[in-house]
Amino acid sequence: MHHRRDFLKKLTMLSTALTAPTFLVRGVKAAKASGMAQAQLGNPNRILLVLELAGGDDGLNTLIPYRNDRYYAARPTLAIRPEQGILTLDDEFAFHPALTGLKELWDEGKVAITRGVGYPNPNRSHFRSRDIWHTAEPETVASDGWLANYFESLQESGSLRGVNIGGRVPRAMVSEEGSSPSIQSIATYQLQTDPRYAAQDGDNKNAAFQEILSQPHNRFRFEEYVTQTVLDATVSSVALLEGQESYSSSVEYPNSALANNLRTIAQIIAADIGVTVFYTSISGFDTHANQVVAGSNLTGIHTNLLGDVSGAIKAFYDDMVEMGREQDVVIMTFTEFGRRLNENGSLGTDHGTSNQMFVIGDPVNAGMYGVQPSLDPGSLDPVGDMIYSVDFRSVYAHVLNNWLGADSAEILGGDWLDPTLTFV
Amino acid sequence: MRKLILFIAIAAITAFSVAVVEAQIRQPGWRLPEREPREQIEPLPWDLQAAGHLLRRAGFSASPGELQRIVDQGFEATLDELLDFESIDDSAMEAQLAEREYSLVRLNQNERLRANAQNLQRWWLYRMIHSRHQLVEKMTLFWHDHFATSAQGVNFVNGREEPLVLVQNQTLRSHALGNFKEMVHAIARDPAMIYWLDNLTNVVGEPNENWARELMELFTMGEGNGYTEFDIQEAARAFTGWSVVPPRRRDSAEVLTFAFYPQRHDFEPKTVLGQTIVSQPGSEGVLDGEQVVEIIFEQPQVAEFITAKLWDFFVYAEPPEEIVSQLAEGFRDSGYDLKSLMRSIFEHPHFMSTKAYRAKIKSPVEFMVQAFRELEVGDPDNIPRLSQFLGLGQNLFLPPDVGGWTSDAGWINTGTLLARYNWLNCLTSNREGLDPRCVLGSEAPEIELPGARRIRDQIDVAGIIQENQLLFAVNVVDYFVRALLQDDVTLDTRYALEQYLLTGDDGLPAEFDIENEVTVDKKVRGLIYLVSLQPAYQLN
Repeated sequence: MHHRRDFLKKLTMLSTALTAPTFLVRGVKAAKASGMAQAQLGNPNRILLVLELAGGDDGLNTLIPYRNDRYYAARPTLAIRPEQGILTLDDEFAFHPALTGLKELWDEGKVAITRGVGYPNPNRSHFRSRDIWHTAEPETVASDGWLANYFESLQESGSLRGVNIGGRVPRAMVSEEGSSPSIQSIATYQLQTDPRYAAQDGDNKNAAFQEILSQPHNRFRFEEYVTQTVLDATVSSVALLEGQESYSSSVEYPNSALANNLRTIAQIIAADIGVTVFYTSISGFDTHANQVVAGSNLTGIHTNLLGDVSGAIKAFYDDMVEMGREQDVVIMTFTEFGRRLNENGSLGTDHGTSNQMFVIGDPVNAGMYGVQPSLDPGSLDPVGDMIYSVDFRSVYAHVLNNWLGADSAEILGGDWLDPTLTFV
Repeated sequence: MRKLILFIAIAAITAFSVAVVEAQIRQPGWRLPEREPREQIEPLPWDLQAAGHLLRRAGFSASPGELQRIVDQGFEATLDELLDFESIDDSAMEAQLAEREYSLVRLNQNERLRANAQNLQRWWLYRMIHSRHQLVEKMTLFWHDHFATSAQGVNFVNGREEPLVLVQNQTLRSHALGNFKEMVHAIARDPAMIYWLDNLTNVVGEPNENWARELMELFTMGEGNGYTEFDIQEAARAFTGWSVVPPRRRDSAEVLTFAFYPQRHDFEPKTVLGQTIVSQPGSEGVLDGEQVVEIIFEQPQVAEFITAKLWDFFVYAEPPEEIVSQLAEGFRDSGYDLKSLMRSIFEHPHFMSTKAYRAKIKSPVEFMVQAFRELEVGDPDNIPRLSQFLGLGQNLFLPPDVGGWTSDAGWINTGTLLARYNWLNCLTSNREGLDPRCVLGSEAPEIELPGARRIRDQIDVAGIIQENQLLFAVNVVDYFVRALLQDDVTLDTRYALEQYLLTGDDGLPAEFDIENEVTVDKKVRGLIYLVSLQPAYQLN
């Protein structure tokens, strides 16, 4: 932690010509210009984008087992039939008709699907199950996120190794040592000062603020944590503003919150400021009720959500191609659990267990991985849910080792590598 | 006076001379904070800082004048005021609130959710800022987080426009310091909750577990704490048929109320936590659900779970087990009386101790409301845009999910911290005739609100200067360091703040002339901003 404080202290000693649009810009610009920030702001060529489908995606209506009678028997209202425009992948599975963008990527060989992913003793609480996925620790309640553990395993840590886009920082990126920043948009991720006197008095405020920050801040619990976060915020905000200026794209993203978030990620990638892991999420998958519209199971909440996911991913992938970065980025999706095989009486589905994970990108070895759990009554658990076949930590481990070049055993606290998973 | 001005002019030149001047002209009673950090448990002497601690936790801080009154009247009298709020007349605030005519229902069709959420937020913020029942509002905020229900999933369903979350908010307020078991019974019948956790569709033959699960997991016992999946399924059956009376007309303004529909109820016996519930016929079937609540409250872990959560919120995170079990025992013995539990918490030696002092991180709502009260802003109508709540990470009436919001370190990351700082910039720089360009969170346009007042000067800087006779730079620094931080800054920070006031646009030493309007507008507002940027200002 100390090196970052030293870093900012050095910044305050530097000075250049003043063209600063915002508070504190000057020092950081000078640091970048002098090459001092190189260690901090690298240029990774292996980027991971984690996309969380929050609420528990209905996996059986996402990757449809269209030859399975059990699926149709259990879901008289919700099941999507082959003649309804399913997007066939092989002789067992098809995508939901809303996943057209994802289907294009599948056809181009950019999508790997690991089926039957879960963990022992599945927990059907959103909060607990989400925590389990975020901390990679199903047995005991852990507080450190798996991505935060990854960042700490790096030799050269930095405030911008991981970035969350939109909403709160996920627990996956939080540990006792701190958390990754969350950015709504680059324009709003800036420290502002009184606009009436920015030109005359901004520098004076800057100087006073830096003096305040250089004071000891260790009297109270969390005081150091807050102070460190202030330093990280000022450094990263300026770096991103500069980076945004170098981005331009002809790709038209769909008009959705998720697509906006992925475009922001593209801008940050274009900025080359050393972010290794991006995280963003789309919520609303908790479809207990009205998952589909009565009498029209191809319309409704779930269809809209899948359409958002598919359209945003496709646009983002196209943007990477345009930037020539498609070899550098892998997308991994997950959701805290699947939903129950049997539909409920509210045009919805209740919390279930295992689900598939998608890994998407040019470096991916496309295809099906893992074993789809049986839907036969005798093969379900006592609650009526599917029994997982692949531990999610094996998927994490594979991504950590084979994509990020990390030591997954150290990060996940055990060897979870599974030789049958070779998707990247 | 001439002599002092000369001293200050000299003080701008060397730090040493500043120290000399500081020593000479500091107000009596000023001292450096000497709080020992974190784990040491020393009692706090009753003083300004201790009073600030009490009011930040049991309320939403206070103006310097109010804080002095608290110091003078003592800890016990203040605690009595906070807990025995019934004897304190709050009708002036209620009258003001009524006069403001916050439109809480039905704006135009397209903007109704956002506008209503904004109005609800302003309505509640106004209460937090102005109510004399400060602990009641603080407890209501706690319960809103505990029984987290979002207007997003509740209001305006199927064309109904009743502000059900407002009804729930009043229910929480009426039980805030009452009896916890009664509150849970009331929440089980709360229409917003019935919508929120899908109990409308919890019917015989097709039970929906959502409410039953959260009743145990989040509201009473704690996750996985002594119940099974089977208990949840059985409890869900007991609550079948718990629903609401639909409005007579689609655009009806009447508020939905609880209703039990026997024809949707499962009358077969249920076994919850080892106890069998046998249904009474007809409308008496409603007793099944009530019995579930009674059975839950026979479990000792309920008191432990709630006590620990209250302690975490009001004192410090991760309370020692022996403290929780001791307080929980009293809570159970009292039949779940919240007022006596809260008294035990506030009177516990750890509450008024160094271990609790500034040991929490302010939630965004605490952060905002406290700034309003400390700077005597009073009117929340313009500044806290809905989008700003989003940037800070806590949107009243719109919690992220039924688990509620985070706490402490979870509130702070570089994004939310920038949002907090920029919110402070808005608060301090927003003034007549100036667009503060408060670009935070989403960029949704402001909605013109009926009844919302257009007061542009958020902080009455000139009024504060005049009333407190702030003549010199040092007085200005002292006043705002005290108002916002009860002197919890280092001596060097005071120097830096004073230097800021004594520096001109050219970066060279300059006189600080309190008579000069531009100086006041620029420098005093700037100073308030800088004081509030202290990392410690984020700590509760």
